[in-house]
Amino acid sequence: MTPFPADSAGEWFNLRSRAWTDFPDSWNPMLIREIRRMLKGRAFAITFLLLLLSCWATSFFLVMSADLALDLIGAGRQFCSYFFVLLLLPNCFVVPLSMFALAAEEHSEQTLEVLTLSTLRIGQIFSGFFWCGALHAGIYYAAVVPFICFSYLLRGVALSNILFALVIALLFTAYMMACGMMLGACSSGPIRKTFCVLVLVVMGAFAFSISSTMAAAVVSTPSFLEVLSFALPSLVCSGSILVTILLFITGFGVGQFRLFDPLIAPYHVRLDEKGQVKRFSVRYGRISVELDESLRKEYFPDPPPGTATSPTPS
Amino acid sequence: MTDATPDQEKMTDEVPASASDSTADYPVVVTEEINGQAPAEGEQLAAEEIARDRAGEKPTLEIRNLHRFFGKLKAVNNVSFHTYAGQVMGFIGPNGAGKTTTMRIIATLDLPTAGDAFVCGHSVVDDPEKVRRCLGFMPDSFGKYSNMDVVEYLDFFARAYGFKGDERRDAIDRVLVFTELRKLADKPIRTLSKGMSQRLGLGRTLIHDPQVLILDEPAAGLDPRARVELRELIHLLATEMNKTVLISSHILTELGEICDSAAIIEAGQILTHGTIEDLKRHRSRKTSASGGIPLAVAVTSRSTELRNWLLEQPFVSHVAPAAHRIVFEFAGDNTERANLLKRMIENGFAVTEYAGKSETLEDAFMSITEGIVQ
Repeated sequence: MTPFPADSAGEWFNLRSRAWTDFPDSWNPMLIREIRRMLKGRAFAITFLLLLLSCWATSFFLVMSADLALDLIGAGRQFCSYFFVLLLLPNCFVVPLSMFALAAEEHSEQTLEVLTLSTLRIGQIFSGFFWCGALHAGIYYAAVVPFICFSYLLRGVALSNILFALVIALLFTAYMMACGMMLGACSSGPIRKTFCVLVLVVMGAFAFSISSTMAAAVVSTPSFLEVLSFALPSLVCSGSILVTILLFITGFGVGQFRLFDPLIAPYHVRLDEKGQVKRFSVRYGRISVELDESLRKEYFPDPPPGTATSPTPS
Repeated sequence: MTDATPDQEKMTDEVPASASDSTADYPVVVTEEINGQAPAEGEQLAAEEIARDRAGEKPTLEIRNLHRFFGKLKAVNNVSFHTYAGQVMGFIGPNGAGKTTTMRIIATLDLPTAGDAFVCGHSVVDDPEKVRRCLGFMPDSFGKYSNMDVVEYLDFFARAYGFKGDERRDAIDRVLVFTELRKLADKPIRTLSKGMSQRLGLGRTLIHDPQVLILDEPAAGLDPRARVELRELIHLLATEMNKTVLISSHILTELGEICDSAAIIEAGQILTHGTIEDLKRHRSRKTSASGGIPLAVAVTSRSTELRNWLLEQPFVSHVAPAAHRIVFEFAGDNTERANLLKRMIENGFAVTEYAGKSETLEDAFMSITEGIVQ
């Protein structure tokens, strides 16, 4: 390490910006970066406010329309169902799309290469995205959960049912976050990006319809055992299909972030000091395989010349 | 990017992991003979480099028999060169010559089909992680995250390189001081000028204090002042911080002023490699082989008449006007050259300048390359 000619190391930070840079060192750098950007952006604040207003408006509308004195139990279930729908709406569309934008930005802004050159591992990059999405979703949950609690206070819905519905919502939120992130990682070109956005919206609609139906059914069913009897098989069935799709997307997305180049020949040629072909080996395989001689001749018809510049000085 | 497979690990054991294992067989510089004339200066340079090897100094960047094929296209075809600590090396070539591909391989962003590159003795094939720790890469167009300030951008990369606490703050501060971005530390990146953005890119490249810097077209799109300032920064990096800099650019006059050496690449192959002076002499020798040394003469008036007059003189050929001067090739000796000037004055030409035309890197580039497009 060679020193920089610094005249006052550390001074600037001590004076002005220590607070900004004092996120804990143990935090994922991607998460810190996105928190800073999120706090400066307006999109998140606007969505949050819209969600809050929707909850207030829904509450107001339901209170006005329902006869709370006659059917308190029915009103509680109805309120709870609506709030779950409101909760799942941003978590199936807004959060995944923002995750998509985050991952896709690394391609479109050509920042992925400089990011890969750092000591960040690919897992850290994705976990940073994921925690950022989790924070995003967490704040939406914080906006809606008080309203769900309010519906619980109206009675008619068991706490276990509400918790189970919340678990379903969380699972689908996490699923859609992962889908958004991985589809964003796949979108390395404009055409692919458009296609991935469409896929994400379709998946979001699919996940939203399943999760909101399940959540509404769970909060509307009086017995928790009855809930388990229909909700668990539904979760397993839909989950197995959705997870398979996610694994497929993940494989492709991680491959894109690994900068895997499909054009590169899947072998590497070892040359000796004089540039003569020493050995052909399969690069990505686990077992070293000597390749066919005809392939060698195709790429290296003759032993490569010594060096391109000049012969070695005597 | 490239997790070493057991196969690769096995291969690592079989071949020298580092270029520094051998020092005797480095391809050195242009030592080829042109029309039987031994390049005395080139030999002097080669001797100097051999002396460095003998003194035990290892190249910090060495490319050895590098190949990169895209199907049938040989983007990089058997490229070899090396450079030492404290040197700025220019990497020159027309568009599509293989410069960026070579640089991306050195930066571990791509894998060679064959051959290897060594950064601080670490192979880009076998030890990409070690290479990344001692290498800074500034691509021709690097992204800048929106909604971030200068200091936040640097802080992010300092964290990404694993700096913690005061070490991180000091690293950022040193970079801000060096790139003179301290006053702009709070500014959003999107408000920076192109020149300042390039400084920020250089700062990001320097955040982990790498020994080797790969700069791909850093001066592209900069105004003259920003170019001069960037040139000074690069010069400082090499001279005061002893860093190795490999820089590609189309602005050859810039390269000629900051580089110690240069390699010219075309159609994936290195055409020549040596010091800037050596490349210029390479051009001069080629010129002399075709008939004479280049001379330039300037007169206050009657330049057209002088052109016609020169064409009638012995040993003179290839007479052409060039920027207020007349350039021509002269095949005579020094006595004949003096006689020519004497005759010019006797014929009433008001000569204000009469000198050997100085060769530029651009001349050398045009002379050496053939404009081959793959």
